[in-house]
Order: sequence, then structure tokens, then C-alpha cells
Amino acid sequence: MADSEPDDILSWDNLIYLADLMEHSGEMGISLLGGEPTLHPSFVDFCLYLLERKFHVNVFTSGIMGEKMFNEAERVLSGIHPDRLSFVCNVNNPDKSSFSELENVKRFLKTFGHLTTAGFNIYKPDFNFDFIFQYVNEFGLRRHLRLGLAHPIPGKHNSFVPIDKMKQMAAKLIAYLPVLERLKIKAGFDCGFPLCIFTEEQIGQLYKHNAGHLSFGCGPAVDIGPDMTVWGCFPLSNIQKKSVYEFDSMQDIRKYYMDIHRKTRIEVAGILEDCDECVYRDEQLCMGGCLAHSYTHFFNEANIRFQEIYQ
Amino acid sequence: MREHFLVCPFDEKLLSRLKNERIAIVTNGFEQVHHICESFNDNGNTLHCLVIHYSGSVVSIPFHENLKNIPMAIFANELGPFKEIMARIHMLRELNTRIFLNSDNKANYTNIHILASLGVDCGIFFGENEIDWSALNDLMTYAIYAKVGHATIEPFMYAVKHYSPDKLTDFGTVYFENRESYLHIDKDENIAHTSKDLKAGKFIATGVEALSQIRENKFYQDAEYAWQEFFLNENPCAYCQAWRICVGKFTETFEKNPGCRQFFIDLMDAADFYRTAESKNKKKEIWQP
Repeated sequence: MADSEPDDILSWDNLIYLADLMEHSGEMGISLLGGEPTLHPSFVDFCLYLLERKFHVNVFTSGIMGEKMFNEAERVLSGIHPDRLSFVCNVNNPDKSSFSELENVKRFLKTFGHLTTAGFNIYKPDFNFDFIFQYVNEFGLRRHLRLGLAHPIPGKHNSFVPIDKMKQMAAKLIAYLPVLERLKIKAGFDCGFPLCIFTEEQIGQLYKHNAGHLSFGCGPAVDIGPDMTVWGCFPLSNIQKKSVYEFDSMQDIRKYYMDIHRKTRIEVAGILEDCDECVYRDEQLCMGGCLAHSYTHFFNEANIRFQEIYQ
Repeated sequence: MREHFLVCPFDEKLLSRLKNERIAIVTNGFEQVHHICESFNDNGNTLHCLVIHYSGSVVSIPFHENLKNIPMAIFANELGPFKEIMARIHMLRELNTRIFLNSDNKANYTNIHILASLGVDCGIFFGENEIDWSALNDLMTYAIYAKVGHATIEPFMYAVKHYSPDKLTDFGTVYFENRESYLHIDKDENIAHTSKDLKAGKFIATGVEALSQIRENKFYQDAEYAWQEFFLNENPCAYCQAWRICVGKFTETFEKNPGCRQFFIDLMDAADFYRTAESKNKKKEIWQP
């Protein structure tokens, strides 16, 4: 059954270790991310295993998978109750996708739509996610949209919304609220949206849209790699890596990265100079945007700050 | 009742000659399971366990509700596809069964890990090929130190449960191979200490009548101290601190594959850990009526 896996993908033994770590920490929800998790040859088996261990499994996928994997996933996973298994399908604008990619995504959504929340990654100030509304209606997706904001990855060149364009991005987002409400789709923010990119009026609109649940946070969203290294969150995946074996629980990991994040924010409070004096940041209503922006400050300067933040 | 369990093949004539014995029946398949169980109605014999050496994969075993209360030790070479195991996992957990998988198949170290984590009692048995001591050590570490509950993995659990710093611990018991606990008998009523001896014709007695007096038997008594011979020879295992928990089971392969030494030292550490944890968790127990 368990053939040996290559070193760069998660092994069965490591999966069991991580499942034990999560269960020991009292955390019974586990997210499978990639790359693309469905490329793992044991992807379906891993899901089945975790479900049998009473975990809620959440899979982040592009929805693009090979024929064989799709058929296997369809046969085994499509009937699982949404309370136990869910997908976040990060969809791209069809104009930017090839025909075969698009067909693949549609095939996935047709089968797994009832388990799927659409995810959309904002990486430029002017964006368009109209196509998602069609997906939601056509494939019966969950009426929730997960909005992620691309952040700089320290040490890498990637696309993200520059700080001076964030207000423009926010205005575009707010312009979508009427149609979201008409279609009864709730938009939820992933981490790293700063409070001050929205006007008072826009915050009022968001407050109503999300029934008062607003978050402008940024904190550890712990990721663990197949080689059992752990890091504080995806944008910080190039720095502060540790071995998961150095910790006894998920709480320990989170505490470790919280501490580093706190120290980093003493050095650079947030993405804007004003964050230093901001009363809302002081009251932790806003965390000052994504920490990755702060880290970009440290890359081109002398090693003069809290030493932990460089580790 | 004498303290030994008997290990024998299924032979109705032999069974009819045995009285008030606890017996492990060795068989190769599942076709006769119910017939074997029914044949235990007479003579006061009790079925200790069915020892099934199965040539197929575990998923090809016809598990059924009516096997639920039958004690079984299944020895198989492979597990089979994961999805098919998952289709049977609830049944596997319900059965009074321990599944042993062959160490010759490298994937079985992981398969055992998976099974135990899903609540199926299991174990590893040592085949003919070189043992991967590092993988075995990882499995033992999981079996003893894991913080989350799981099913037992043998022979580790037996070894740590029965370990005592001042005497030998023979985990051969989990494989029905320990002269203190088991006697092997064939349909011709030849009696031996182990299945290997029985196969090789090294009998200590013949005839079921000899069973009641077996402790007085010269060959039986000679074997009691046979382990001491070990230390009279130039054998690297004689200097091994972990000998008292492996009892020289891997002497023949030591030179070629000496990883056993570190493994058994670690197993002794695990046993100490287990004993300490047990004594810490021990509840106050007052006198019992």
C-alpha cells in the first residue's frame, strides 16, 4: 500500500506525525496546500485518512488535475459531507487561462462545487471577478468568496498590490458590494488588509456586508512543508524556518511566531509610516497590514534590529 | 491446568486427545475458521488464538461480522490498497484480531504505522531479508512515545510491558515462540519448544501424555538454561547491553547488519519510559474482596 514517496512530497509517516501533532493540540481542522496538493499521488488516500481520524479537511486547489486523479477524487470524495471536507478553489480570470485549464476548472467545479468556496487573489489594484458569480450560480459553489491579497515575499520577485495603490484596490472592492449582496454572496478577507485603506463610509458598508465581523489582522498562519520545516505564514516562507520537531504543539508554534511578529512590529509597526502612531493599531483593531511588507525593509539594511527577526 | 499454551495445527484427532488445554491453532486460511471454533466444544479445551499464516494481502481476507469474537493473529505479507483497507477499517477495529505484517516488505513499516494510528492492533514479524533497523526504530518510537492514542504495535508493546531490568524479556511470546509460555505439538504428537524445532525434528517428547509431566522432562529442563551457553562462546551479542531484551534473536545476522544493538538499547530506554509513565499514572488501589 504505502510505497515510498520522493523526498519533496509529504510522506505517510510525516502526515501521521502532523495529524498527531494537530490532534494533540486539540485542533481538528487541517488544510492541505501546495503547490497543488492534488498532484500528490496519495492525495485522495491522505484525505480519506484524515477524515477517518475525524479531521475537517480543507483543500486549497486550482481545480486543475489530471484525468486519473480527478476520476479517483470524484469517485471517493465527492459524496463526503461538506461539514467534513471542503475545497477552496483559487480561480483565475478566464481571459487569462488557457482553454484546457478552464475546462479542467469547470470539470472540478461541476463535481465538487457543493464543497467549494471560490478564492480570488488580488495582486493588482484593478481587478475583475465577475466570472466568479457565474461559477457560483452555474456550479452551486458555496455563497462565500475568499479574497486574498498578494503580499511581497521577502527575497523573491512576485506580483502584489503596491502600498500606494491599496486605496484604489479598496475602492474597486467596495464597488462589488452591491452585486455581492444581490447574489447573497459574502466576501471574506484573508489576512493583511489594513484598516486605513478604507474610508469611514466603506468600513460602514463592509460592516453591514459581513454582519459586523470585520478583521484587519495579520498573525501567524502556520504552514508546514513536506520536509517538516515550519514557517509563520506563506509570505514569510523564506525566513524564520524551524523544524516542526522543535515544538510540542501547534500552540507552541503559533506562540513562537507571534513573539517574532510582535518583535518585528516593534521595529516596523506596519506598512505605512503612520502605523507607528495609529490608535487603531495600538488597540489591535488593525495589525498594520501584512508583515511581509515590514520585512522588505530589513533586506537592504545593516543587521541592527532584534536578532530573532533575522533567524 | 498447566501454564503452557499449546500451539498445533488443526487436527481433529489431535484435539480429541487433548483435555483442558489452552490451544493456539495454526492454519493457512479462513475457510475452516468456524469449523475449528466448533471443534472446541468438547474436552474442556479453550481456543487461545487462531494463528493464520495468510499468503494473500490483508484486503483479500473475507472479514465478516461473525469473526468478531474469535481471537486471531493474522500473519500476512502485504496490506493491499489503502482505499480497500478503509472500506474495512471499522470491521478491523471491531475484531479480536492482531494483524502482523512482514518486515521483508519495506512498505509494511509505514503500513503498520497507518493501521495503528487508525486504531487497528497490529505488529511486525521478521521475514528472511535484512531488517531496516532505522525504520523499525521509528516505528517503535511511535508505538511507545506517541502523544496521541493509537492501537498497540507488537512486539514493542509486549517488550515494554513485560520488561524488567533484572530478568530476561522474551518478546517471542507475541509470535507464540517462548518456551516459558508455549509448547508446539504436531499431529503426530511430537512436542517441541518452538515451531522451528518442531519442523527440524528437535522434539522434547512425543505423545500428549507427556504434557502433564513436561517440567520433569530432561530435554525441557536442559533447555531452561540453554541461554547460558551463549555467554561461553566468542559472540559479539554476549557483550551487548541489550541482550536481555532481544535474547540473541539476531545473532546470526549481527555481523552483516549490526543495527539491532542500537535498536534494542533504544527499546530498553522506551521500556524504562513506559514503566515510569505507568507508575506515575498508577491509581491508588485498596484491598480487593
